[in-house]
Amino acid sequence: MIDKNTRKLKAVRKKLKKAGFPDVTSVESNGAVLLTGNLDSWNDKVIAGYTAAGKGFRGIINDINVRGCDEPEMSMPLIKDELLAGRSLDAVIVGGGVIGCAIARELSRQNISIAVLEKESDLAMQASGRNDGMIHPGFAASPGTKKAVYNIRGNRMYTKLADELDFDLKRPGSILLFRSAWMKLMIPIFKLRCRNNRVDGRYRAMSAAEVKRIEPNVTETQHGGFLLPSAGIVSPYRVTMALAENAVLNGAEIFLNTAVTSLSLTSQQITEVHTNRGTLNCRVLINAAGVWSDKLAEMAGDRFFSIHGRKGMEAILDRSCGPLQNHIMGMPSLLGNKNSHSKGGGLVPCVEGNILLGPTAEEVPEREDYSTDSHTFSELLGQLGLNNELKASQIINYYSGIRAANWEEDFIIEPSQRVSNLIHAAAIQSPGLASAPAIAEDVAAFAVHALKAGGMKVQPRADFNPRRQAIPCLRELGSEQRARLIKRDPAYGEIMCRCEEVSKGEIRDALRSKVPATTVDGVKRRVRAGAGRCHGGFCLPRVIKIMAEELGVPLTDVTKKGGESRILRCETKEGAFDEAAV
Amino acid sequence: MNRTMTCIACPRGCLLTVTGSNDNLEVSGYQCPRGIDYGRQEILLPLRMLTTTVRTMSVESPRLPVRLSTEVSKTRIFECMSVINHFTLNRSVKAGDVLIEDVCATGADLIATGGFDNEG
Amino acid sequence: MKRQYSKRQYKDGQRRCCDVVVIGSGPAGMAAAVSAADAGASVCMIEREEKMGGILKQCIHDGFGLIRFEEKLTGPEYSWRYQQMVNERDIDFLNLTFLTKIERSGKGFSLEFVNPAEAVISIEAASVVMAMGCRERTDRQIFLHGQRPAGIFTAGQAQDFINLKGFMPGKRPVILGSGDIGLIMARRFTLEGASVRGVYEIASLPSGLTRNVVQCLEDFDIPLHLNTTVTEVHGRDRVEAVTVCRVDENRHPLQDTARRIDCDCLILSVGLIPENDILIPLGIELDPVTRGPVVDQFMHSSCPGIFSCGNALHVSDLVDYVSESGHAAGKAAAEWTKSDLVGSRKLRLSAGGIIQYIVPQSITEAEHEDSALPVYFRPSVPADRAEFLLKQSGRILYKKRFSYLKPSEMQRLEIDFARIDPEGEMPVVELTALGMEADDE
Ligand SMILES: Cc1cc2nc3c(=O)[nH]c(=O)nc-3n(C[C@H](O)[C@H](O)[C@H](O)COP(=O)(O)OP(=O)(O)OC[C@H]3O[C@@H](n4cnc5c(N)ncnc54)[C@H](O)[C@@H]3O)c2cc1C
Ligand SMILES: Cc1cc2nc3c(=O)[nH]c(=O)nc-3n(C[C@H](O)[C@H](O)[C@H](O)COP(=O)(O)OP(=O)(O)OC[C@H]3O[C@@H](n4cnc5c(N)ncnc54)[C@H](O)[C@@H]3O)c2cc1C
Ligand code: SF4
Repeated sequence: MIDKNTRKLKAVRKKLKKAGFPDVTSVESNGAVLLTGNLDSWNDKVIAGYTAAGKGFRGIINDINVRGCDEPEMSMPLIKDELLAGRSLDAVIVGGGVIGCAIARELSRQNISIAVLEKESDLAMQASGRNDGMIHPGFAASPGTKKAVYNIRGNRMYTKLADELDFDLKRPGSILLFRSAWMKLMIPIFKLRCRNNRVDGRYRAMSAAEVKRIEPNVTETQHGGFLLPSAGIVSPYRVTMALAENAVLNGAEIFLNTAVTSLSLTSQQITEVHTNRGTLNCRVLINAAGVWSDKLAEMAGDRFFSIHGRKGMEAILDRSCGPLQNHIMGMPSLLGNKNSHSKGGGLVPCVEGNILLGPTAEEVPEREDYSTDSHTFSELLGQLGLNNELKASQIINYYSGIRAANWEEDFIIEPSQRVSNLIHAAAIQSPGLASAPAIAEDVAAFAVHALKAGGMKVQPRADFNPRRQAIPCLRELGSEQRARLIKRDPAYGEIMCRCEEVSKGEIRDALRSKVPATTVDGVKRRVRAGAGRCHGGFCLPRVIKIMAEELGVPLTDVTKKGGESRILRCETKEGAFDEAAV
Repeated sequence: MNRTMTCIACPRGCLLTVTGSNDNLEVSGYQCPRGIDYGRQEILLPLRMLTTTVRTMSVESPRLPVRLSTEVSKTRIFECMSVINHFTLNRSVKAGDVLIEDVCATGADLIATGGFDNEG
Repeated sequence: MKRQYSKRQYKDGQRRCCDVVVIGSGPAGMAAAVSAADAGASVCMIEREEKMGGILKQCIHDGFGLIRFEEKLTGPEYSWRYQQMVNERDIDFLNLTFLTKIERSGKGFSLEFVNPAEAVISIEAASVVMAMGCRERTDRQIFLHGQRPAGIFTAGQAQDFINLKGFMPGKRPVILGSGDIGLIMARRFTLEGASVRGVYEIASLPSGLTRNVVQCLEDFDIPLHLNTTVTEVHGRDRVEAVTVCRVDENRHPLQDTARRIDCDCLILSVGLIPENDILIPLGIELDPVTRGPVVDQFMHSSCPGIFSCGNALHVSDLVDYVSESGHAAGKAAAEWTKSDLVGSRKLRLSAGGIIQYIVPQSITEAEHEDSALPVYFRPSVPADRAEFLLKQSGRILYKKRFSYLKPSEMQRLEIDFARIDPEGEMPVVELTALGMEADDE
């Protein structure tokens, strides 16, 4: 065994040397390769990380220091209190993204106590709220990887999930457009991959004319394409909310603004979870901490991988563009540059009727910097060309998200090998959303197993309710349904957001839901007030007024996204001149 | 005295130059006689209209728009503002009603430019 | 909140019918409703807000009505005069009522609204006047980058917060864009005790009226930086600073001129977009420059029976012209319900020279024309002296000279369209800059 590892390590060193990194030190640590040393550029660190991967270790821990480049620490909530002090829970899930919430919902089928701890002011504030919302068909991942397996399973599960949890799921299908005629030679390979991955639906090749027929606005530069009908779309944050709300309905608790700061272990078992809101006990801990999942593993003394950010920018086009495209379309460059792990991006018709452009992909040292820049934006605009009718002037919003990439480029979904009551759902990058239901099923099973092993009697909850009801969406109702709804509840007849036609009733319900919105962005993500073309120009004053009333706080305490992000500074007239001299 | 300014008496916006002493002001650069008056007035006593709001007791309309009844000296604007800022409306008014008489002894009254229903 | 709803009594479930429906009760909508009623039509005016007045409710500054009332009024005062005119007439006003759908139905239209008291309302109307005003361009429409903090507002939003709600969006604002609302807000912020860090304008000329540059900025020593823009926003939770950059003649930022300006909010005054999205399903023709419907001299759009006025038609800088277009649209909409102009020929005007846009964009042959009708245009570039010509088949039908034209200041003139030969060629309007001899006038 030792010999085998030494041999593997030698291979890693040789590869690193060949790649021009003779000074990078590699040693074995917790079944993984630990890389240390100093390099001059972030890009070199990225190359070194990928160079070391794929030699049979459990993972790569890339601790190479880049001179002059700091990797920022995790941002922390402002709150400090003892809300959780002394609480004892059976299962604690760290991370309120789609993965954490899907796990919470799966676990809420059992008669155990569950808490999701999320450091941000709302759920889905990180990767789960900043992605394409695509339920991939399971074609892109290499056969045999966890990504491929979970993606296919997850994709299938979405149909039932959407029905149970009352969220929109559409399956427009995706077309992989051929950039050049020779790509037709790849068709048998594509088909083989579909078979190997067990992709659903009647996938098939299409001629350029056929593509043109079903997508009249497609670029003239296409040479046919490959259709994957099982590709779906959802609103990623709405899915996350739906999962969480259903979990709460079945007894789970969600704690926002709650960050896990350290863990206490006794004989390889987590006993105490320390947070900014006090210390709690748990029987099993689930690591669904996204870009910080390696840090959480480290807190438990079980570090065997490291995460880096892969930033992606996306843009949203006005809803009036919706009719201009039917399918998801992308035109990947199969030759692509070697160190790009991007899927190429493309155009995605969203469930709300907008068209989404993107994403881009860039390896970054910051894991939470969601700023955008004009350079990446120009790159993004390049993809508009896939549809002849789309123009940059139709863009109403753009943003970026950060994927939790590891160097092995595969999901980590397993019980810890070191800590008996820790389960990892880590490094869940794309297609993490598509895979979430399947990942949750397995992680929940691991957790139940760990609980039972710890001597607990776990039984299915007799009164588990798999269904959750969404807030009615006025805009999507027919006249009669609208009339009925407004008669019952006149607040639904008062339009607050003119672009998306969102009523006061919907906003109020978002503030009273099972996982209530507490921020302006939270309202926007739940019911789309301010998500339209005027970007809240019209509804913001109205929305914050309702929020202040519902939350029982002064208007000046309403925030955009928690923390210090207050919308307003102070009242007019009071102390008006005190700062004028500044 | 030698000052340049943009005439705003009409959209043309002539660049005026005013020279001389206060009792003998020379205006040049105008393209119509109104520019002469504007230039003189700007040196002798530049006048401005002040429009702002006052606090009310209402939750639905917490501010009521107001203005001064006449233009006042530009230099007194902030003085007037601090008096207006301490005023709270606690009765119903209609547009044109006087809220404060002779604000800061400028000779101008503070008047409501909109109606306000104290019950509402 | 006070609900007014309909003055008339309808039996529940009764389908409502009227001659003219006016959407929006800003100055344009109120004028249209008044004129339509005066022309004998039964009128229903719809407003999504509680009160009439539109944007004027928050424009508490003065300068309104110089032409219409020959007085300098504040926005609320101007609005109040029209409100009285509406109240004096038999105009059905529905407030807190939002237009959700408009469809053709026979010769007229069927419109659907929601409101809290009556849920869903359907109205059948012979003609519709669209007076929905405009919306502001956002930071995303000018492709602003950087972080995503709270503290980025459009000027109109800031105006609403300060003037109506009584709250300060910040105390050290940077203002991007020199549109009128931005300039007015620079003054409002200052009067309310804030310290405005500066107004930044990407163009080489301010886009607001000169009088606002003088009274709102110069009076308060607020610096105006031309050829300069904001390129990046900083601050994780709340705006902390912005990066400003000078731009070259193609408006590309010159990176070596980048400076960081500390501030606590960013106010955008970067343009207005007429609100017409609801008309797109009707297949209405929109002018790509004004972004309002293409209309004839009666404010009649390409969709028979749909009239447009005010800021929904094209963004005006003077409310007097807004009301004027409202009156024209209201009157024509009322007449439309009686006569039938469908068959009459529309002549498109072709605009040339330094015309940015002209409204109306087309001319309809009409039987008895009143007299001269107003035409509005903006030049595409400033001109000290310019000549406006209306020509047809080589003949000059109308000629007028202008001095000191600026794109920021809309021009108005009156043309007697009866002179145009409906059988003739496409009429041409042309604006030509003249030499500098004007200087020694
Ligand atoms: C641009 C982009 C496009 C994508 N497109 C797609 C797509 O189309 N389809 C698809 O399937 N996938 C897509 N993905 C991937 C998908 O978004 C992710 O796989 C998925 O959202 C991961 O979910 P998660 O719950 O693991 O992570 P996250 O949503 O990031 O959740 C992790 C949470 O943990 C919290 N947390 C971390 N540390 C702590 C701590 N110590 N204490 C408390 N809380 C903590 C974080 O605040 C965060 O909210 C895309 C990703 C990006 C960035
Ligand atoms: C800040 C600012 C300063 C100005 N300063 C001056 C000045 O000093 N002097 C001057 O003369 N002019 C000035 N103007 C110009 C003038 O006031 C405006 O151009 C004018 O108010 C526009 O009128 P409108 O009726 O077209 O639009 P609006 O006033 O915007 O009215 C539109 C109305 O339609 C309603 N509406 C929209 N959609 C719907 C729907 N779906 N259902 C029901 N109702 C709907 C809206 O609620 C609104 O009430 C200024 C404008 C602004 C914004
Ligand atoms: S001087 Fe006369 S022409 Fe020149 S701006 Fe003043 S008023 Fe207009």
